Amino acid sequence: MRVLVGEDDASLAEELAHVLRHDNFVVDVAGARDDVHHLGSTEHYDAVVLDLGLYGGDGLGVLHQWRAQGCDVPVLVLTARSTWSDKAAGFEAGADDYLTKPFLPQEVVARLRALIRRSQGHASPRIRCGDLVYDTFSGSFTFKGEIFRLTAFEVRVLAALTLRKNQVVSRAELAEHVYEYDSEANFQSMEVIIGRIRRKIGAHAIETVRGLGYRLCGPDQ
Amino acid sequence: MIRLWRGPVLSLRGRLLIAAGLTIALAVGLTALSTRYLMTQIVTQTLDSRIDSQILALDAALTPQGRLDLQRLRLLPHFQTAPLQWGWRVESPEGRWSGGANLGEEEAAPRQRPAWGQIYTSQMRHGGTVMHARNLRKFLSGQSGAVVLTVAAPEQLITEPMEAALKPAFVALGLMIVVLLAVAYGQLLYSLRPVLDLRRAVASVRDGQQQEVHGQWPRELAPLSEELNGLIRQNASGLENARLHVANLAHGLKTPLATLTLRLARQGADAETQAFVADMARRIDHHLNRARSGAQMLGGRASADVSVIVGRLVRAMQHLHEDRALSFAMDLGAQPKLAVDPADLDEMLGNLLDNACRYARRNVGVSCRVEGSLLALVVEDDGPGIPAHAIEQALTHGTRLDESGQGYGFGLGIVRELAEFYGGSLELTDSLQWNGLSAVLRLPRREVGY
Repeated sequence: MRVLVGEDDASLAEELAHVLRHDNFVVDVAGARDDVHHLGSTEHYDAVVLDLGLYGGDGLGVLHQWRAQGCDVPVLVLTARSTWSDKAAGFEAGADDYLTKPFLPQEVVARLRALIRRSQGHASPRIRCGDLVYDTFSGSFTFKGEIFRLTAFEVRVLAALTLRKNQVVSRAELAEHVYEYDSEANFQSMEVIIGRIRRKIGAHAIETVRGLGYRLCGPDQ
Repeated sequence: MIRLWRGPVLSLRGRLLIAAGLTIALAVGLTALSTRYLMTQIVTQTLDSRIDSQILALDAALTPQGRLDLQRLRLLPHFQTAPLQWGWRVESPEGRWSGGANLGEEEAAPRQRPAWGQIYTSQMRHGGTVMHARNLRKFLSGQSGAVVLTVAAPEQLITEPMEAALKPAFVALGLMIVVLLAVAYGQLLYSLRPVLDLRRAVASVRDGQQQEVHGQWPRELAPLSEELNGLIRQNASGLENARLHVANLAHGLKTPLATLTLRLARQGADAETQAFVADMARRIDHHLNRARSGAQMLGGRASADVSVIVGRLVRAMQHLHEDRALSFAMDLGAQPKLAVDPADLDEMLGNLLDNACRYARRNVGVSCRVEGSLLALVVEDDGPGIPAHAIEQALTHGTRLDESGQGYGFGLGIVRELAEFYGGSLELTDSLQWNGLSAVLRLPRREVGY
């Protein structure tokens, strides 16, 4: 799951990115208003963590602009402004969730996972695909009722495919969910990761759609 | 400045009315006095000229020796037409002659002896009758002594026509006073109307209906309107700066605290250290909330639309508690308004709704009812409620009954403190509708027309 963190305080952004990466999120960080607006408008993110105080302008203005442009990325507002007037104004501007500073790391991770799950149209926190179950609350997988041990890259790829199960996900999109903005996307290593997952859950679970990408197939029950 | 009136400060309308009344009374009084004087002069002079002609007739009947020739007197035309109430008298060293009404005695001697041969006025009294007399003192040439000729008419001949003429004149003046006062009152209302309009314009700014004092003002009030708008802009700027300062303070204090919280969690800090950070956050929140309330109270008399605020808070709650699939029921009637700052109402209702959403099983309701000058806003849920003995504890600052959820235990305490600041109250009871908690927030209503 790929997340943009828009936070002007470098120390907090670093700590937050650390927490999110630890929970297998792919994290891009920006602190200036224009950078946050540009990345949110041009890159594909599963969610945005947005501080309302950014370098060069107000985060609410960025949110207004995204919504006016038709950008419907889920946004978690993370701010020191804790009045109910601020919260109501945040939701009116188009926020999907609102968290005030200070916050616990598990709180922001759980809120982000719930936001992403709902944005993909999943009402339940557990997404089932045949024998594979993805617990969006904890970010963990089980396979045939057993805890499924995966590497960080494998979790990122499988989470992206599970959230869009029965849909074709392009290699480029998968790469975005595995590698961060300034890293070199490596399609060959992507095939290696897919191969490793196939060996664990079965060769036919992930279908290759020639020229388009990959599709995770399986029934809901 | 010398103050003539020591009582309560008179209104502008009172001052102008008193000034107009005094001016009208003075003008009408002077008119009445001058009219009376002029009429008296005219009537007296008319009578005097008639009396004087009688004196001249008497003088014509006087012989050079100072004797009155009665034969000659009868032949003179004026004496043949003289009214019966009149009287005359001739006093001479040769004798004393009189006719007609008894003249009586002269009331007081003239202060200055009149010149010989000049007719002068005196007043004579006989019994109860006052006579208006004209006299001629004449020196007899070649004789030793003087002759005094007197002709008098009843004073009534002056006073009666005066009364007859002045009575309708004074009634007319009285009517004129009434008409002038009515006109002055109308003029006063017309003149004071811009002042009243300005007062209404300022009130609408204080109520939050207008940002500035708008309107076309007379030349005398235009500078005042500009000064008021300057003050309003200055106040708004100060308020905005105070709010911005609080927001910056919140950002400046809470961002490093958030970093610290994350770093402590990453480094596996013990529970005591994490609790210490949580306590710091609680204290910061407490002081920021107080500073924020202070900044909001600078705004003066305000107006908050309950329907609008409940609507946007419920939408916020639907986002914040999306996973709980709660059902919200709103029954707010016809657009009630409160005399409360909208940001304060956000804070009070936001806390109550958030509490209700946290503990509700499925249903949260918001309704209102009018209780005299107050509006009772009722936020209910179908959650477990609060036992009667724990209610006061729940309303105390910093106390939390349930340690499992988020927050730092200031919500209900802040709501109660803010409600009491506005002269309202917060009451927690059992919900009769859903068997959960019912929070009744009473706040002053904004009067109709504001």
